[in-house]
Amino acid sequence: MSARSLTHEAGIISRRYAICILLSSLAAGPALAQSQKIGDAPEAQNMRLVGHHDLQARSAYQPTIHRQGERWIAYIGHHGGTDAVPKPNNPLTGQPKFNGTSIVDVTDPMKPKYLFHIPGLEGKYEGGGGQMTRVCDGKTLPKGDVNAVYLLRTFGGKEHEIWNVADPAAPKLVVRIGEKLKDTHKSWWECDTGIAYLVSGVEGWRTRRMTEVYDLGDPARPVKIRDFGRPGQQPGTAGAVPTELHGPISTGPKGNRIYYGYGTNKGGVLQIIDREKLLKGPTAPTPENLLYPEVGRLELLPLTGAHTTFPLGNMKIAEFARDKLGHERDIVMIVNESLINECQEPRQMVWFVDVTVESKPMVISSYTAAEASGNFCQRGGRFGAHSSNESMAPVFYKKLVFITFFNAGVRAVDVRDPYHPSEVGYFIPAITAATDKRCVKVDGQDRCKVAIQSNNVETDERGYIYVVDRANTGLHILEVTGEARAIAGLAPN
Amino acid sequence: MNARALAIGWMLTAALLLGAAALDRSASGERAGAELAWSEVAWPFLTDAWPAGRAFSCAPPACAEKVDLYLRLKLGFCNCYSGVADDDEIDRVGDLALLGGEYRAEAVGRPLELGGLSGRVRRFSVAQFNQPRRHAIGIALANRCDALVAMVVSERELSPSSEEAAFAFIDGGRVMDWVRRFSGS
Repeated sequence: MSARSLTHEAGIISRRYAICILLSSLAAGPALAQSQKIGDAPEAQNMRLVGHHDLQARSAYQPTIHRQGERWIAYIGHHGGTDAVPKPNNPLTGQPKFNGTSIVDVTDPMKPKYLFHIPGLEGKYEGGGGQMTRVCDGKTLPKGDVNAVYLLRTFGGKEHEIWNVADPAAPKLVVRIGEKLKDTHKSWWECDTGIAYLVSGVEGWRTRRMTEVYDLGDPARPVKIRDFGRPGQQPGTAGAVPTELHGPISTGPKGNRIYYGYGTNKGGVLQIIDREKLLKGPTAPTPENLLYPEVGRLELLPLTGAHTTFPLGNMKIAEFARDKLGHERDIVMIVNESLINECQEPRQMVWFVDVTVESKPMVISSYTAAEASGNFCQRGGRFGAHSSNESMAPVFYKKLVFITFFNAGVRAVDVRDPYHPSEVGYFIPAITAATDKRCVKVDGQDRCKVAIQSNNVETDERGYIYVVDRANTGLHILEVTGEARAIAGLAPN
Repeated sequence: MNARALAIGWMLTAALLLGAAALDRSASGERAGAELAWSEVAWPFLTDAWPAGRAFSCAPPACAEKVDLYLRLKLGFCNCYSGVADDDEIDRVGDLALLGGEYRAEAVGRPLELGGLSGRVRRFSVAQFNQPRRHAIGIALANRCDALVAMVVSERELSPSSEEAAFAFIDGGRVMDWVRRFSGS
């Protein structure tokens, strides 16, 4: 081989090497990004940003998207303010107000319009605000005002409130429920029956969070049905206290099941409850009465919790299609909550549970965003799962789920075969000047980083995905593209 | 003021400072001595949801009776705002279940502050099949959103001096340096 050909060969190798490096870099995607900087583009695959609102730089929890006539309104709960800004300014009024509930018109998702902010309880971080939102139309509730639209929200950890948001730009308080509760959280409200499973901490009970079952069929006149929790949490008991409730999801009278999730990042439990027995069974909080409605219980590996227990319902499993028995399975998805910054805890992720035999639920598969794909343990803040969308609208139900993963943004997961879930897209929003820092202790000193903290996600019937940030970066409205869009059956964009 | 008075003043000040230093040395020496009474031993419990903690033992004559102390940091497990506000919180965040068997509170708990951390302490008895009844003090302290939980355990009734020795040890630099190094975010 001549010197020239050697040089030529070397040139080819060198070019190939460069191309390889470039292709590896592209394939690795966010792996190169160690930390986010203001001005960096969002990272995405098969998901695209449609619109954004800063939500007045308030730390956000539950978004609920509700159709009101021809309008689409987002109700977004908030944690309390931060040490730096305990009472953010509301530009609509020019007044600083404690974080509560943002009401945003998302009819045009490209131009979300902030309509109103209902202040919440004074207090910072989880100590204030009003994290939870659920919305029902008066016309679907048994005794609601047919012209009303009701927002059920928490008022810090102290109370629950119902507001009439028929005019979302001018909400009116209808009623307050409970007083001096120890804590509140991720409640559920059946819009057809009015039955609500309020996550509360009732005086005397030995846990911060359990269930107060209410009939809110007439929202102006709440009727308490019973208190409910796990044996050992009720008043008068002793010994270790079972893991506290995080939240339930009910399938209503038709499904007659409520899936309860206990724990956030530890001691997780999925409890399957017979709704009829819960509502009509004996209410005195004895161990026997508390166990009476339970038809199944899965105690997870104690290294994980159960933040969201989302029923995917009866699913046909393609692989089992020719099996005489068991080709359809009842599936529940459990989402853990990451709680500690920078991976100082076991991985919190997603578990799929076959509940076909309700008395013997079994984990069949799992999903996590791959840490190495973005060096997420080094980016700052929390990395791991937090919550899923809870809408059962046909556009995504039993096809795609969306899971918030804090600094790994929101992940789109194909669940058509729940025995083999697979990631088909993700979107990690860019940080802004409003994004708050997150710190860990290193040798007794705070070491802080700034990273997106995608906290909660919800979808609407049109196929838009709403992701909100715990670190004050606001609301990102997304749509799926490519393979993810094809799975949903949406027209190509 | 004449020179003699000034000299006396200086001498008195120096004597006071020397005395204070000696007292301080004596106090820190006592603390160090008290800390030396506790020997670190292996964490004896099976793996559970939390990382293993630290275990110490104090035997007579340094302690009135043989006492075991178990300490664990539980990051993110404490109520960031109300801390350890009531006795149920000791049951909720504590580790007494690790001892096996059934534990029962023997008295109402009381507030406790150690190393600048606030929380509660309560006495328990622990009954286990085929084992002698044990006595335990459950402690839960809040370091912002993190919990420091401790159990002081003995097969004999825990004497006030053993309780005080355990509190002093937790309050000391050996434990509190560890707590502050890894928790409080």
